[in-house]
Amino acid sequence: MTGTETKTQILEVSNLRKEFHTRQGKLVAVAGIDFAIAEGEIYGLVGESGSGKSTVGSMIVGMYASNGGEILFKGQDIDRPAAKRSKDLKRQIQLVFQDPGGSLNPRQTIRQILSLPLKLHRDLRGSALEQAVEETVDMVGLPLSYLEKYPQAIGGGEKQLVCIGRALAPNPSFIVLDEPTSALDVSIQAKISNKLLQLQENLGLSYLFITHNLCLVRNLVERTAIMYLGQLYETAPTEEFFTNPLHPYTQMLLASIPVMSEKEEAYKPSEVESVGEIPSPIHRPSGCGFHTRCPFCLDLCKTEAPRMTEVSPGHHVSCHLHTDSVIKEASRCS
Amino acid sequence: MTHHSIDQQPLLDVRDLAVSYKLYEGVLHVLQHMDFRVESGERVGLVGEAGCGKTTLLKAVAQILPVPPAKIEAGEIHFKGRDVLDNHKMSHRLVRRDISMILQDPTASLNPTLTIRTFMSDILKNAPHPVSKSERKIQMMAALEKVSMPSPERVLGSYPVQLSGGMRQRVCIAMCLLKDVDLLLADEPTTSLDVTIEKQILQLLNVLVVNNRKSMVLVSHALGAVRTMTDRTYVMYAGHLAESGATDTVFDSPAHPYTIGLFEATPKLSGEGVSDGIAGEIPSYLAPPPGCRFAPRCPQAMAICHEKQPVGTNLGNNHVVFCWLHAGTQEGDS
Repeated sequence: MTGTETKTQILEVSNLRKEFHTRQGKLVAVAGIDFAIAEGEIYGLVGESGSGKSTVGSMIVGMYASNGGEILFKGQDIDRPAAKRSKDLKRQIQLVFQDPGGSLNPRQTIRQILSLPLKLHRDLRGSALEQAVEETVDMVGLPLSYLEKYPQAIGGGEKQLVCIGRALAPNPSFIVLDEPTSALDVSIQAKISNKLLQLQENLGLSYLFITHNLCLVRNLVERTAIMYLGQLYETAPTEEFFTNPLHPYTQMLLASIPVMSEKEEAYKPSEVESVGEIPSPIHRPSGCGFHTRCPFCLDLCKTEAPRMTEVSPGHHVSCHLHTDSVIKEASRCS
Repeated sequence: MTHHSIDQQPLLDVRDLAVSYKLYEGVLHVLQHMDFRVESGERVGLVGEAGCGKTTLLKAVAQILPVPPAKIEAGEIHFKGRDVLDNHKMSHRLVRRDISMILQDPTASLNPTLTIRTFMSDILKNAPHPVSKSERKIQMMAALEKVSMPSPERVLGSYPVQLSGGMRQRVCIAMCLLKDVDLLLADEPTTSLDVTIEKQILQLLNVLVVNNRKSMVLVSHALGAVRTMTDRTYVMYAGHLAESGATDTVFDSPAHPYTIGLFEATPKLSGEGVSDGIAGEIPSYLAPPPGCRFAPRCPQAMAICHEKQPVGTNLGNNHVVFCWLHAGTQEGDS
C-alpha cells in the first residue's frame, strides 16, 4: 500500500455488511468487505451476477443503509439513506445506472432532465440555469439541438451520455458507475468509456466502476477488486491483477473470457477449468465461499473462511493457499 | 466460389434474401441481398451489433418470423436442397424436424407453468417414431446427462424458475439433442449468463456439434466466442453483409472498415487502452442510406459509397468484402 496511502482517500469502506430478509431466509448480499478509493482514482469492482457488487454501490449512494460496518466519505461517516444525508453530501456522490432507457423519464425532454439536478443542487434559475444546461450537454459531447428531444428519439449511447451529464450536473466529486456500458453495443461502449475517462481526467473525479466485464476493467481502471458471494477475494493494481492473478476464482474468471487474438490468449491462465455455479447467497457455503467450485480446495477451506492478506505491495488475496501458515501446514500434512 | 463443387450441396443456402417489417411508422427494410451458406458439419459465426438483422435471418431460416408484420420480400432459402419458402407441407416438416433454435433468454423460451419433464417428453411424443414411456425417460435422462446437468432426476420434475440461468440453457440444449437435428441455430446462447457459465455452455455446444457432426450457426456479441468456436464468419451491419470468410482470416485481417472498427472497439485483455469506437449510431431502417449502409459512419467513405450499394469482392480464399474500397482488388472470378 505504499503508492496509495500517500494519496488522500475519498472513500473508505470497512467491514460493510448488508442483509435482506426474503421468504426463503436471510440473504447476505454483502458479507463484510473493506476497500478504499483514493482521490482521482478509478476503482473497478468486478463480479458475476449475484455477487453483491451493485448492493455495495447502492449503499454508497445511499439507496439504503448497511447492516454493519462503515462507509467514510472524505473522513465523514455517511452510512445512512440519502434522505438523512446533507444536501452537499448528496450533491457530491452521484450514480449512473446500467440501463439508460429505464433511468430517463420518457415524458421529459433532455433539457428538463438536466435542469432538475442543477436546480436542486446548485440553485440555478433563469438564464444561469439555461447556460449551465448547455454547458452540461456540451461537456458530454452532445449537440445543443438534443435539448428539446425526448429520450426515445435518441440512441442508446446518447441516452447514456445524458445520464452521465445528469450525474455530472451537480458538480460531484465521486461517481458510482453501475455497469454503465453493459446495455450498449461494443462500438458505442468504447465511445462512452472514452468519454468517462476524459471527464474523470478533466474534472478530477473519482469513480467506482462496477462491472462484470473484465476486459473493460483491464483498460479503464487503476485498481481492480473481485467480488464473489458478497466478499472481496482479490484486489490489486490492475496491471498486477491481470498479469499475476493469485486467487483461483480470479484465474477461473480470466480463463473463461473468450478473446479475439492469440496475443490476448497469452494473458489467460490456462490451468483452471470452469466448473459449477455461484451458490445462492441465502445458503452460503461454510468456510471459504468459493470452496464448492475451487479446484485447489483444502479441508481447511471448507471449515474456515480465509482472511485478506497482503502478498505484495497493494496486492491482497483472501485465500488459504496464499497464507504462509496454511502452506506450511498443508505441506506437513501431505 | 471455388472450393466447394456443385455436386456437394450446402446444407443451408440463403440467396439474396430480403425481409421487411411493416409497422405503423412505415416499412422497415431490414435484411437486403443476404447471401448465407452453411455446409454440412460446418460451424458458422454471425457477428454484428444489436439490430443488425441477425435474429431476423435466423428466424427466417427456422420459419418462425412473425408474418405479418414481417414479410419476405425476395430471395430463396434452400435447406437440404429444397426451397423451404415454397409454403409446402413437406418444407415445414423438414424445417421443423431438422432445424432447432436456441434463444438468448432461456427464461423466456420455457413456459413457466410446465415442468422440464413436460417439455422434453412432448418432443419425444411428437417424434417421427414415438417410443414407450420408460424409453422416453431413459432418453430424457441421457440428454440431460450429456449436457452435464447436475442431478437430472430432480431437474426433470422441476419448473423453470427452480433452475438457474445456466441450467435452463442446458435444458434448452438438451431439448435440441432429443430432436437430433442437423442444423442448430444458436442465437446469443450465452448473453444472459455469467462468464464462467458462458464458457461451460459454449464448450458443451462445441463438443456436441463436433462429436455428432452437426452444423451450427452461432450468433454472439462475444466476438472471442465466435473466433474460437466457428469455421467461417459472417459480419453483418444494418441488415447488409459487410464481410464473410474463414474465421481466422476475418479475425486476423479484417477488410471492411466496419469490421475493423468493431474489433478495435472491443476492449482487449492484453490492455491496449480504449479506442474511440465508431462515431454515430446504426441508421434507421425506415429510410436507410441509399448506398452502403455503413457510409454515414465510415471514416473512409467516398462519394460512391453514399450513392451505390457495394458489391461483393473476393479477396481470395472466399474472403468476400462488401466495400467500395476493395472493389478494384478482385482476385480471380467469384
